Amino acid sequence: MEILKIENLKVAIDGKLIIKGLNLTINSGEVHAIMGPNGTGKSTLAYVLAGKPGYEVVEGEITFLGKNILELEPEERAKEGLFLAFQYPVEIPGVTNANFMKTAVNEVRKYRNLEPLDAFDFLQTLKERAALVGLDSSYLNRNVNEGFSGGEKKRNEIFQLAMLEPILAVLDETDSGLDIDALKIVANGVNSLRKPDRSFLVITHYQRLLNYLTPDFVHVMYDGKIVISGGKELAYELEAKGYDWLKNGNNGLK
Amino acid sequence: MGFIDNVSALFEKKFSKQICRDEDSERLVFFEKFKELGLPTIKNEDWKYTNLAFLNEINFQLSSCTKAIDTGLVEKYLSFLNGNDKIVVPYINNSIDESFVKPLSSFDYKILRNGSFFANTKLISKFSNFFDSSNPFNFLTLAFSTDSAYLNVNNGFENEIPIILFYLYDFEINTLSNTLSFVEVEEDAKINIIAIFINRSRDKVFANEIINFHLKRNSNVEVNILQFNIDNLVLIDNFNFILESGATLKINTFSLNNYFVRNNLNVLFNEPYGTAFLNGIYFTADDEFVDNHTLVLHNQPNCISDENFRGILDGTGRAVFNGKIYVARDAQKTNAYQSNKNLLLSNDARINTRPQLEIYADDVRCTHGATAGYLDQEMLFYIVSRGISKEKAKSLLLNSFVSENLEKVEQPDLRNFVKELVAKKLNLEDIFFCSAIDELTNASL
Repeated sequence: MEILKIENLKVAIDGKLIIKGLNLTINSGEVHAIMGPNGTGKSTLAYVLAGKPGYEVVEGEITFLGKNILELEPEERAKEGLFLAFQYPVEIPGVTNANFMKTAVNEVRKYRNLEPLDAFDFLQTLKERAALVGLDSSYLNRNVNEGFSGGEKKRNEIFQLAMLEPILAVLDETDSGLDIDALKIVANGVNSLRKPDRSFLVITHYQRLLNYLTPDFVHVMYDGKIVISGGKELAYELEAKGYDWLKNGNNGLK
Repeated sequence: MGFIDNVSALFEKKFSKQICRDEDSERLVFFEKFKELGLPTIKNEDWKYTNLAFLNEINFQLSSCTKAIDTGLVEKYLSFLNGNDKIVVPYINNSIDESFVKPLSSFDYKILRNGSFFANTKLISKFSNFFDSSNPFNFLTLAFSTDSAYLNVNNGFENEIPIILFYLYDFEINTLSNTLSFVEVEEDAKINIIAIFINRSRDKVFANEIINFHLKRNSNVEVNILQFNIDNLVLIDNFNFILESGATLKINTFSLNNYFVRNNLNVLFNEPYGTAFLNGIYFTADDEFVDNHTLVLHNQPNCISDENFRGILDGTGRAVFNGKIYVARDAQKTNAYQSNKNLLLSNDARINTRPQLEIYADDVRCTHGATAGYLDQEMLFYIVSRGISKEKAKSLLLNSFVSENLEKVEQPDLRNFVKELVAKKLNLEDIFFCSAIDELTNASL
């Protein structure tokens, strides 16, 4: 089943074109990786999907579960089942992780016509999912990302993913700033959340995350477009040859 | 008629007939002084952003109303203490209802009825130490003062039981309220004060209340000032503090839903090694006004003051923060910090903030800063990206903005109460208070 379809997407920030005609289709249960050098528009794609203000879609369409998500508010996209794991998670003092997740989960459940979780069940789920990414349950009572290390922030993103049970999860440079141990924890967390009815779009600069998180498809993005797509072996090839390989004009003509 | 003429007529009517009494001649001196200073205009630096001209439009009368207030009502307003022990000093319509005061062995109090304050020379001389003679309303309060309360907290008194200064206004005419209070905290004593202002009048009440604290050596005082749902009340309160060596003072103000509030908070370090924290939260919505006017006088070395006021301004709400830190030439090793942050939620909301430092010593550490801004869009996006509505996300961020100051309240019942008040104001009760999740997480961790 087709989950996400991006057609000829062009996006500008402050009038400057960043994404210049991007096409991508993701089906149920697939894991797609987007790789590419810095500044090619990978994170812009993640933000446009999630609906961040300030990104102007100049042309093209994005369909999520058959709906035009460009007409939906960011919170509606989340309720429809889209999740973005942020590259730079934001600190929110004064709001505990537990309260934050309770609010989010119940709003999403309400949208899907489900009863709110009772406190006991909710707490069990919280602890279980926190353990998935090796977060001690004391994190639940701490304020969202406040004083968290880089690794803890990324783990917290995956924990939120686990709580919100999205249909499509976009991971924006989730591996950046992680040491190898943290990377394993995060990757294992994501692996345990893979399901036939859940798709992933993994945005990364390096191939190393893909050692742990085997993608079904790898796309290389350069200068606002996907220039080459392939299987997981493309990631290795890219790692071996470096991004200069693209810049030298060999793009797409392998 | 104008405010000055208005109160002159009232003064004449109430006191001049009996001028033979000593106290009334004292009153007259104070009243003349008030008239001389007059109603401050915006040309007066201390009132630059606080326009009092509206007082000229109100016709105040004297109230002879001594409405009996039943215990149930006081209990209702204090129900946030969950029936726990408390000492209540009720200032009800300008007079102190003694029947409420529950004496404790280590706690003395004296109620000075109608003007008998003026006969108490000891108290007068203590009082004069605090007196800010540039503030005309101090003279007005003295001239019209009715009952006064004198509380003395004995040496080493240390009690979790809060002392409530309960100001209740329930008049049926536009009128004035003027009381004086004096709290003397002896050495090593530790007390928790809650000053709460409640207005039930539908007419305008102009309240000028003076509350003086003398913190003796190594005493520890927390003063919480609660102002919420006080429509129709024009409140100018004057909280004055003198600190001796080793004394610690914590002030928390909560100004939520007000008509007009001016908090004058004056802290004087009279001996070295004192510490004072001044924290405040204010919310203003349409037609609401809150002015926090703080003065910290570092007259002695090695004292610490830390000031943190946060405001959320919506609609046509207005607020003023005027904070002054004065460090005298001999007050070396002073640490003085001041911060005022504001969030504006509408284009019509307004904040005037004036952090001021006046430093004459050379070995000090002082910082001050003020900001006024809008909600952080990155934070907002992060929250809505989790499926939380924009409205709720805003509320969460506003709560987050003031949460640090909410946590500073030490008295646990009061801390929960103010957190709940703020959550209600932001429509967040369901998140913070209607679920057992917090208790469950706390219990299971």
